[in-house]
Amino acid sequence: MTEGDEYLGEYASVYSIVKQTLPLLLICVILGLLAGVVLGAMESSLEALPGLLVLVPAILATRGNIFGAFGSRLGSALHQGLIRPELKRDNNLIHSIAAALVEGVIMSIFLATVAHYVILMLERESIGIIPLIAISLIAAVVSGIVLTVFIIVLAFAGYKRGIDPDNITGPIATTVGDLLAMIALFMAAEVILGVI
Amino acid sequence: MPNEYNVVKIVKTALPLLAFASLLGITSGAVLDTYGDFFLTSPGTLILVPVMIGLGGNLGSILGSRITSALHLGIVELRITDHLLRNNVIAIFIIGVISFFAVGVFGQLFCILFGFKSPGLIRMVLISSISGALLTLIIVLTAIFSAFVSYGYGLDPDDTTIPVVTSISDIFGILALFGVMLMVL
Repeated sequence: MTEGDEYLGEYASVYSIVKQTLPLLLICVILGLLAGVVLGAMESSLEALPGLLVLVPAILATRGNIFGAFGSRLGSALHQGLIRPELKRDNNLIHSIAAALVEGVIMSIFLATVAHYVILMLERESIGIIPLIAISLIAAVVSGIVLTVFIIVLAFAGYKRGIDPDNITGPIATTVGDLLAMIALFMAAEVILGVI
Repeated sequence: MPNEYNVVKIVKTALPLLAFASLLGITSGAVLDTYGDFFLTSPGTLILVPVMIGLGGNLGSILGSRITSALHLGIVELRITDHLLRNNVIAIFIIGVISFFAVGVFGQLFCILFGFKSPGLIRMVLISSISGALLTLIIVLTAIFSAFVSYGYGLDPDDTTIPVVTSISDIFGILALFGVMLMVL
């Protein structure tokens, strides 16, 4: 057996793949279920705000996409030395953060608008375009700010300790992102229920 | 320090992809809303929704990343007898079975802890395991298909595979969950 085969043997062994990925996935299970608990706790708001349920998967998916890319940019920039792992004014960092937040704002308005018309097309009930936009916008801004801080702090702390930020920002963006987005959505729904 | 990142440039690049992905998310939400009354009468199963979608996406991303790296390295072929492909698929199924079983067990635990009405431990585990196995099968086929097809067309599979599998997981995660719930409950 040559050296290459041995490397491939370890790389391709069922046992090593399972061993490396299962622990992280079980953490994802717990965090994902907590996001579900928040969704379950929203039962009464979901009934009072018809149409909100249509938004939930799209909001979670968009959060993961925006902040997955943000984390990925941060990782590449740290590796290239474009951004230094220090919390101070830095144009690259500011533009990168601004992009994530602007994307969040534009997408939340877009999502709520499309969701409203899809609901009407399916001849189901919607609370209306303005309340849907308000909920999705509040949720996007609140969860976006918290998630930005979370990812920056963990990526910087990890990088300083020799942990590759590329290995940690992706799972954080999707699983912690889901949980934060659900909590923010819950709060936003409560606020809007209080207003209307 | 050069200013590499520009907010306008980043947003312009990202928006078309984000918009496309969000349309698939809305489709998934429309499915969820159509069966919403059913989920709302059984809050214990509603808590499974984010984790089913998320896990499907995670499994697909892991398999997708591994296949695309192997494609770039030229060490994998689209054959049932291919050692690397077969072991990766077996590993994903093992990880999937254990994770989705854990979803049922911990889901039941969280129902008790947080006071949600649950269909019981056996049914929760049956729902999460059967729909999880179905979802894993769909995700594995999607990841392999999109990686090899992208590569065949000269696209970088790294750019396509993960968005494809996570979007497919968004839709089929909810369909599988609902289908199995109808059978079990």
